[in-house]
This record gives sequence, C-alpha cells and structure tokens, in this order.
Amino acid sequence: MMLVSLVVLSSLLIPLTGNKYALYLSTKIWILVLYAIAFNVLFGYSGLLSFGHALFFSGSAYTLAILVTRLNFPLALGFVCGIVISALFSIAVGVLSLRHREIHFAMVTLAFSMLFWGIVMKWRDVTGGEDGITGVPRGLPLFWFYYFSLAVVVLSSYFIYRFVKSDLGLILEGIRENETRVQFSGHSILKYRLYAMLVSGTFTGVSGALWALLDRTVTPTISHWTFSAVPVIVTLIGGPQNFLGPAVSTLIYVIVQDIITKYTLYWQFIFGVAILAVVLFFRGGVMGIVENYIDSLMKGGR
Amino acid sequence: MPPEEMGRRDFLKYTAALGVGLVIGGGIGYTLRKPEVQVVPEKKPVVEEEKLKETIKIGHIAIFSGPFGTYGELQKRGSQLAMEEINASGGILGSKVEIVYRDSAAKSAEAVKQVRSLVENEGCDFIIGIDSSGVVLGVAEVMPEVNKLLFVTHAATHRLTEELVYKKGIKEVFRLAVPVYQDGIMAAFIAAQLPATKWAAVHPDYEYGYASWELFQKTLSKLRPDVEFVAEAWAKIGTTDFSPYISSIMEKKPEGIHTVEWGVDLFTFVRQAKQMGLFDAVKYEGGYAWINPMGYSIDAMEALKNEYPEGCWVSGRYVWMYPDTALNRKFVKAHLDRWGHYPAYSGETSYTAVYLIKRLIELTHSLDVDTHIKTLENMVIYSPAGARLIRKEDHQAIYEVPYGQIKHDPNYPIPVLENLKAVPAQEYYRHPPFEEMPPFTELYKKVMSKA
Amino acid sequence: MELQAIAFQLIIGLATAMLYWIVSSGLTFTFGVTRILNFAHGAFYMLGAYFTLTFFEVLHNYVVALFLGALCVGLVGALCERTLISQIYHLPIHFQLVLTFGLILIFEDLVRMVWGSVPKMISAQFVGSIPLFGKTLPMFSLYIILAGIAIALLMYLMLSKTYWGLQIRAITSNPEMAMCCGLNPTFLYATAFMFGAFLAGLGGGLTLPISSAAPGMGENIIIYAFIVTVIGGLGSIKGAFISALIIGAVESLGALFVPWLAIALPYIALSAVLLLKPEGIFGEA
Repeated sequence: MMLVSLVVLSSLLIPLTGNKYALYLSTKIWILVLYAIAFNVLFGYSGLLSFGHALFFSGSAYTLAILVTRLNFPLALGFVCGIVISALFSIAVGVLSLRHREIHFAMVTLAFSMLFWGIVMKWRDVTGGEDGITGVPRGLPLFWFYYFSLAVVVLSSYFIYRFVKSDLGLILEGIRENETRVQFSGHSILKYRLYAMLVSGTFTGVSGALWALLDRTVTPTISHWTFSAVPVIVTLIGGPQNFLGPAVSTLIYVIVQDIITKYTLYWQFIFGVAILAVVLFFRGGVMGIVENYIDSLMKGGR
Repeated sequence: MPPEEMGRRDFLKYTAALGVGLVIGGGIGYTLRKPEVQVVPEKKPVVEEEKLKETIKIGHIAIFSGPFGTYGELQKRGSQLAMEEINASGGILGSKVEIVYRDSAAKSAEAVKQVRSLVENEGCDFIIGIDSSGVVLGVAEVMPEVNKLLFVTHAATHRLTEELVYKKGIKEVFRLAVPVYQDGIMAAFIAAQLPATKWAAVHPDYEYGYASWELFQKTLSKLRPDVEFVAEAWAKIGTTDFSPYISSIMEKKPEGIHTVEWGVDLFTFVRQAKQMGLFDAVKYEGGYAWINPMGYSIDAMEALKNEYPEGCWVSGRYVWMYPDTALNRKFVKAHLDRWGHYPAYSGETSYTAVYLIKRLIELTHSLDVDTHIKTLENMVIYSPAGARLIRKEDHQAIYEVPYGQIKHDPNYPIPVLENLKAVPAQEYYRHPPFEEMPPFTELYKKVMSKA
Repeated sequence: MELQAIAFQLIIGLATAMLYWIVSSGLTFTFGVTRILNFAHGAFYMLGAYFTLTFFEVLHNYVVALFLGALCVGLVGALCERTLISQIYHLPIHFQLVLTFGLILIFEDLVRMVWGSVPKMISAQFVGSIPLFGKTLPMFSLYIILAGIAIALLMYLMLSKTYWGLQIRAITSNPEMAMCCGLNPTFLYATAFMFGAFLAGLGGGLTLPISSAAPGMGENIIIYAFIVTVIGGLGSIKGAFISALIIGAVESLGALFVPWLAIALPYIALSAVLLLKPEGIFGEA
C-alpha cells in the first residue's frame, strides 16, 4: 500500500518535468492500467478469460465520440453516457455468455466484440467506418488532462480493489476455485459472475472514454480482437493473481515497446521473444517474482 | 526457500528478473529524461555561415510491418535517396539531414504516439509519410498540438484536406500526393471516353473503396448520363479467394470494371480475374474497360509483371515515365542506381517531401512553423512528378498524374504505360468549398474531342 | 435470380470453403489431440507459402516444392513443440494463447528479415477454365476443391488406417487410459503438433499459386480458421469440414445478395451458432 501511494505521489510530478512526450505516454499508461485492472476482475478473480473486452472499451469510446462530435452533447454527459453504454453492453454480453466456460466463453465474447467491429466498419454515417471519428474535444490541456486521468484511474482502481476484496469478490474467487462447492452453499453462480462482468465492463468503459479524449480520435482498431488481446498479454506478464500485477506489467509493456520501436523496425521480433521468456520462465508474472522473492527472504531469514 | 536450495533455474529466474528490472528502470529514466533542447539561434543576417541547427531531423512514419509493410519500404527508398543526395551536396544551409523511421503498424493510435515521440523526444522538425486514411486523420488532429508540419506522402482520403484542413483549419498539414480525386474523379474521365455503359465495382471493404466508388459514380453519371452502375463487390482486406466476388459481378454482365484494389489483394484479384475471364468480359476495341487507379504501383508491376493484361487503364499518384523532364529522368535514374527498382509513387512523394523541406528552409532561413505555412501556401515547387501548386485553401498539392494503358515491353523489367492521358489537375482536384464538382462540361468536350 | 447462377455461386463458394477447411483442419486437429489452441497456426501457414516459394524457385516443380515446403513447416512445428509448447501443456489455456501469440510476432519479423517485406508471387500454376452452367469455372477453384478433398482423405487415412492414427485416436479420447496402455504421449503430442503444422504449411503452399506470399498473410486467415473451428466444435475434424462449407456458402451467397454486408457475415454466423450451441456443431460441451 505504501508502495502504491509512493508511485501515485511520484507520478503527480511527471507533468512538472516539462517533457510533453513523457506526459502523453504516462497518460496513456494510466488509461491502459485501468483497462488491465478492469479486465482482471473477470480473469484473475473470476477465472473467466474474455477475448472481447475491446467491445466495452470501444463501446464507450465510440459512444462518447459520436454523442459529442455528431450530436453536440456536452463532454461530461458524453463521458457518462459512454460508460453507461459499456455497462449495458457488459450486462447483455454477460447474460448471453456467462453460461459458458473457458475457451467457449472466450469465443463467445470474441464473437460479440467482432460483431461490434463489423458494425463500426459498416455503419459509416455514424461511426466513420475505417476512418473513425476525429476531432473529439478533450476539454482540458494535456497537462490537466493527465491529472484528471490519474484521478479517475486511481479512484476507479480503488473501487475495483474494494470490490474484489469484498465478500462478493471472495465468493467469485471461490467460484473460480470450486464451482460446485459454492453452488451447494446456495449462491447463484451466474448472478455473481454477472456482477463481475458488470464491474469489469463498466471500468473498461471508463478507460475507453479516457482513451477517446486523449487521442481525440476513435478508430476501429480499438474494437478489433487484437485490442482485446492487449490486457490478456499484459495481465499474464504481470501475474493475474495479484491486484497490481496488471498495472505493473502495463507500465513495462508500454515502456519496453516504446523503447524497442525507437531502435528497430523489427520490434515485433524482440517483443515476441520477450513474451516467450515470460511464459517459459516467469509464469507467476512480474508480481509473482516479487512475491516469491519476498517470501524467500522471510523464510530464509537471511 | 533456503538459499542453498536455490537451483540453476531459480538463479536464471532472478538474473532475468534483475535484467527486466534494469530495463524498466532504464526505460523510465530514458523516457522521462529531458530532451536536449536545441536552441534555434535568432536569424542573424550578417553571419552567413551560421547553421539553423546542427542536424535537421525529419520523422518518417509509414507501415513497415504486416501485409502492407512493403509500402513503408517503398517510401523509405525515396526519402533516404533525397537525404543522401542532400547530405552529399552540403546539407540544408550547412546542416545535415537525418531521417528517423518509425512503424505506424497501420494503426492510428500507434502513429499518433510515434508523432509525439518523434517531435517531443527525438526533436524532429518535420513529420512526413503516413500510408492509410484512418491513420492520417488521427495524426492530423495532433499536429497543432505538437506544432510541427506534416507532409502526407501517401494517404489519400479527401476528408483530410477537405474537412480537417479546409473546414476545420488545421494548417500544419500538407499533402503532396494526389488524393482519391485520382481514383474517383479522374478515373471517371477515363471511363467516360470508353464505350462501356454498364459499370461494376470490385473494391476493398473500407473507406478508401467507398470514397473512390462514390466519386466515380457521381462524376461519371454527370459526364455520361447514359451509363449504369450494375454491380458492386466489397472484398475484405486480405482476401485469398476473390472468385465469389468476381462471379457475383460477372452475373450482372458489366462492360466496365472500376477497382481500387491495391497491394497484395490486387495481385490476387488480377490473377484470379484473368482466369475467370473477367478481363475478356470487359474487352473493347482499344483494350479493356478496366480502370485500376493504383494499378501502376511498382510493387504490383514487379509482382504481376506481364500477367497484368495489356490495354488495362491504370495510374498511380505518380508514374515514373511522366512527365518527360530532365528532373524526372534524373530522379528515376538515381532511384534505379541506388535501389535497383523503379520509383514507386510514394517514393516520389517522399523524395519530394524531403526536397520541399530543404527548399522551405533555404527560402525562410527559419524553422518557424507559421513562417513555413505562410511560405508554403500557394507555393509552386518543381518535383519529379512535375510542377506542384500547393493550394492555399486545403493545402493540397495540385499536379497532374496521367492514366495509361499497360504495355508489355521486353526492354523493361516491368510493364510500361502507353497512350498516356492527363487532364489539367485543377480540373479534377475538387475546388473549395468542395460541395460542388468543378464545371466539367467544357473540359469534357475537350477531352472527348481528343479521343 | 436464376437457379443456375445460385448453383454456380455455390460451387465457387465451395472453393472458398475448401480454402477455409484446409487452413482450419490442422488447427482443429492439433487442438483435438494436444488441447493446444495454436494462435501461431496462421504463422505456419505463412511459412508454408514462403518455403514453397523458395523450393519452387530452386526446383521449378510446384508439387515437389509444395510437399517439401509443408514438410519444413512440419519440422519447424515439431521444433516449436519440443522447445516451447511442451513446457505449457499442463497450464491454463491463456498461457497457450499468449505463447503462440509471441510466436506469431517472431515469425512475422523472421519472414521479413529473410524474404523481405515485398510480397512475392510464383507463376500461375493452374491456368484455364472449364465451362459450367454456361459460365466458366476457373481451374484454380477446381484445384482448391480437389486439394481440400485430398486433405480430408489424407487425414482420414492417417487417422483410421495407420498405427499412428490409432494411437492418436486413443490418446485423444482417453489420455490416461492410453498412457496406461504404454503409449508414449511425448512422441504422440510432438507428432500431432508436427502434423498440424504440416497441414498449415500445406495450406499456405496450396494458396500460393492463386495469390502471393506476404508477411502478415496469416493474420487475416487465422481469424477465419478460428471462426470455422469454433463453429464446427473445437477439436472436431468433421465439424471443421462442415462449418467450412457453411461459411463458404454464406460468404459466396452473401457476395451475390448482400454485398454491403460481406465483412460482417462470418461474425454474424459465429454469434448465431455460439448462442444456439456454444460448444459448436460437433463439439463436446
């Protein structure tokens, strides 16, 4: 907890360094951090691998962009509407998909998100098709937008933290570990999973809305399945069993990628090797390593 | 775990973890470091030799990965050639030119990030490149924020110059390549001269396809009220089997085909269309009523060679045999000598972009963006593709690119073009405020009388 | 619309269907045996095209080049299985997805390093056409259809007529029992993965004469292979064959009747099937 406060406090200083790129990149990192943490509610805590989170992310980004640029909604209202739409999406997808397990659940979510992608590509009058929607106002200069994003992300993460540590969260973990036992104790599995889906989807929507404001452009890339793969990879690098795992690895993911692309046009190769290394040697993710290390220190009593 | 039980594997784990940690730490430090601020000296007319900057840095963003990765390569050949020529002859006012290449991965968000990284971290003075429509619109939006000029060398959406530059007033964006006017409006000028009256479309299923087809239909129905548009097929990007699309088109018995397929999809489409007899279906006395605006792209010509039937009407955003000027001949020769390939259209536009930056700095003796914008508006530049007028209203470079018919010539490694037809550029580059098409009637008579 | 036109469009669609079948056959087979959902299947497909291309440039014989190319991909697959995939059999499914995703990135760039980023073609191989329903059916469609059927036959023979196939079926239906009977799972999983990669490579090599070899060519096809595999039921070879036929028909009739909807059709089909029968047509729940 102290560490977290330290990181948050020190990141308050980033805008003061005056490096605009660092400002932009760290805003982006914060947004992706929320995306990963929200995704992990479903994955790490409920054991459900969604391969369609791009739906909730782009659902709110597109809603915001459409309402604000085409229908002249006030920015704040568009922001809220975007998140509400994501919440509705997550309930709808949840009702239709939560009966399924493992890979089937992943495929159903993938199918819905790609269906949305198809709509985005085809409903050109509204979504701008492949070109997307440009000129979304940000409302704030980047300097202040950074603090706004930071505040939103930290508050949202705190809420998610409280959620997964609540009784509800514990029941979800129980379902992950042993479905039948929880069922016998009289809880409706579907209902609890729907809660998880709602929280996960809604906060993914929050990150999507922030994203639309940061880049001021929304394109179908963020509704494609490849964008759903981002939190999966990031969470795995970070370690799904730790609340902060996805956050830490998002930081690593973005910064490492940024550095690789700076030095070579063959950035995919290096990135691929890094992913292999994680899967083969650091299965618990980065946070797993840290935890192991702390454990060994304590037990070893060095 | 007691220390002595720490096995080799664990040791590896921790060593690697340490490594990752160092990388992250270093990365954060690196990203957060202050960029070396280059102080631009005040213009001192007395001191002749004073450089504006040690090196003029240009960021070049294009697609370098995935199925369309070759398009980045084609652009790089042009800009790198220009850079080498300029540096070999003393640079720009004594400053060296350096180009930093970055992959857009065909994603808007990635390109936007790269623009910021190039300007705010690498200290680039200009951004050039950008291949696709969706990407360029996103990038254009951030140019005022990073306060640098963007010279677009490939992306063709008319929305860039019409909506973002003209209507919205994003003045930092200029486009050196002809937009979809070439693919839609100019294509219709060619179609109007052909006997075909029933036209069909096979297009990639995204904005570029829709925009080209809309402009084509609109223009052609004005030029030739007797034509009909009988069928359209929308093939997803990366289609391996075009036969369902081809046969559904042939079902409607078209006499002419308009297709803006490009890249790998074009290779596949031409090969399969040939075998399914689509070319034969649109044959007329003087060739094929087959209009493929970006067909004379170097990658397509090098891959398909003589498989692309003689007599098809194709074009590009520049074709290397036009115009027949000393400057163009010199460019084509230099490109051939340096790379062993004929220049692609995006190679020419990238080459021109770098030379335009040189000219701009030499004219203004400054790196000030507003000064540059004022200088560029209504400027005429001489480039391999001919004279380009940079139109003040929409920052679109106006120059003409001809259509021609494919001819297999044993003297060349790739097919050449014959029967070149060019229309004065100002006639088909839509005028601001863009709601209306240019007055075609006079021109149409002129073109038709030549035919 | 005449009936003839629809019939012809369906036959054309059969070629598209066979294309999807060729690509998804290996994917679903590998999953059926090893329970590995191989994202890198598309990368193997791409490698198949490039290996075939290189062998063709040297040998000038397409059929030989095709088999050598596919064989090489099989070996690459076996190598990947032994060094990487075998490490994660016991782990949850997301490890596979991420590991094989990493493989895609690596192979993509390797291909660009070795063959360059410019797409490459070989000379057209199956030129000409035959008349059918008063229209012309191109030889390449016919060739793809035959190739698809040949692969189906090959798989049938391999699985039902060889000792290896018997072992594979045994370990698929009941791994514990098979191991008790003394079957060697290491060998079987490795060869199964190799066979899956071989099929992917064969797919890439087979499509080479009608299109081209390009970096990222697997990216587009893999998502269709997934759709086909999931609709058919993960691991079901018969299911993949049938659902490839469905998707092929949906796509080709879609091109004729609702061209503006084309891009979304497979996803509509996928959503519809998954809602009605989430485990796929022939899948086990």
